[in-house]
Amino acid sequence: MSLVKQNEGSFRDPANRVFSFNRDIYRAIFAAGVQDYTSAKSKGVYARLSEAGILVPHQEISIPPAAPEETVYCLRHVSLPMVSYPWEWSYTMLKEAALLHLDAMEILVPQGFWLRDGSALNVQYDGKGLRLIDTLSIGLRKKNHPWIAYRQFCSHFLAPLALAAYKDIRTLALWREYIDGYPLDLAIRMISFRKRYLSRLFIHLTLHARFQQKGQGNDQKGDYKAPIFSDASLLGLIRSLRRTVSSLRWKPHSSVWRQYQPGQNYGDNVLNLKKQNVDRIVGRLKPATVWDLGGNTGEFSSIAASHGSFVVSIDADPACTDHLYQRLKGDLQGKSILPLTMNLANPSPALGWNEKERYGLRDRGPADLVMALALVHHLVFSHNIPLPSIAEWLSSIGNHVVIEYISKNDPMVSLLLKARGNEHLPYSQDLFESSFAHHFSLLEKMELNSSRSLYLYAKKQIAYETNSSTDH
Amino acid sequence: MIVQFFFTVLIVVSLLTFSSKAHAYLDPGAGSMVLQGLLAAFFAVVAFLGVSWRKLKSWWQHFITRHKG
Repeated sequence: MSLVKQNEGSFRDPANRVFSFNRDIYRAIFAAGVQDYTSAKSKGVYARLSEAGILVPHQEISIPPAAPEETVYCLRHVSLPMVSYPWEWSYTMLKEAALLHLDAMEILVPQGFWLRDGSALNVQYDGKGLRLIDTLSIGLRKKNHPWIAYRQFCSHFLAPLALAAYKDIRTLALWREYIDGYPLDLAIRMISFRKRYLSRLFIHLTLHARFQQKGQGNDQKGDYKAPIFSDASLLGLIRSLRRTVSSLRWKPHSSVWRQYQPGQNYGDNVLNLKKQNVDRIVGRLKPATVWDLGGNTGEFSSIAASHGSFVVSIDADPACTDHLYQRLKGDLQGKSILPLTMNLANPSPALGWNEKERYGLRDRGPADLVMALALVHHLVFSHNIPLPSIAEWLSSIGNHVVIEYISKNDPMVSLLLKARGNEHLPYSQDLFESSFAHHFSLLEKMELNSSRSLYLYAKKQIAYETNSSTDH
Repeated sequence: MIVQFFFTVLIVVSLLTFSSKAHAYLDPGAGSMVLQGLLAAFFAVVAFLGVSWRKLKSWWQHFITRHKG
């Protein structure tokens, strides 16, 4: 069955629109975008950026019947295994997305082009690295005009990175409210006096916020005229932004992953047995997409990725996800792992206009395989989520689930219960198995030791048309 | 650093003489343009120094390699 679906996140730009058809991703270019597109194409800008690994590649095709009527050119893109958003990214990923914009600008400006946007939402991880996905955000530079995306760049990158680095990493959660970028005046109010006035942030955040108010005043008088801004000035601005972004560093103070050494907590034998079983299961199912819930620093994500799967490793601890993201440049190089920070008791909701502009976690599934290892007892005891509800939720996001049940006798669970008191929701192996039997068929049950069991479930009535690939 | 300080003082003085208004119908991007315009010369110097530094560094590396060889 063929299905044309307009991408709900691309309706704002009059120059182009993204749609999917038979699970391929297309970009329809309208009259407003033709000059930018043809100029960039003839000068080889797209090819150069794609070769440099900055821009997702595309292929120009003849206009398919599924394209909107006003289409002048049509491009086909490679579809992404999973779309993700800055409110889920690790600190380093957001920082690299900022630098990616500046890399692009350094190539574009000398050729007479620039980025019309400075949006974090224009960056995605494709399994190998970060890429700009909005081809039409590359446009002809307005001669001697200041960078039109400067404000957006500072709101999308500088403000969140500065707050996370200098105030608290948890401020990245503000993204969920400010999906069009952080208000600069809010950001500077939250940063200390010293960082506000005596750091590199002074020009791009502090003065910038004040000038936004000044600009509003000028607009009101109706006498606003864009000042002259040469190529040299623009390149200087990019250099200054690069130095500012590079100077921001977040150092995790204390974190679970630093203290948490799986083998020390429940024995190397159990850990090895769990690893062997996960390895065997992933090898058997060969899933295209795996979601590792409560992925920690990616021990099991790495095993799944070694089978060629695209793995999304989700953890609530930003130190874990950032550590994992950095490992992708080191010992995990070549593996397709996307670390996302998310509290699973409050997963990413659908956001934006009509609640469809940005996808919720569930909208991006189901994954071929969901791994929930040493997770369920945390959801029950720490977040008071009933076991039947956990089973129902997992059946909505995964076609197969490999899940670990840990009994109350386990030393780690005892420790958790000791801290939280003994009053909790019903929790037993019988309830666990009956809850999952409602939604899943049991494929395998493996005893790891007297208190830990591993289950492999397949969702009952698996949807044959999975929707694991997502739009731009 | 001296250049930065000079511009900083200049801009702070200009800002202090200005009262701001918030208005839902106005584009905050205009202020970004004004700021860039005011700092255009400063950014041009940043770019010039960047290019000069790169050239100097490359010349120095070339010089060292030649004399070591």
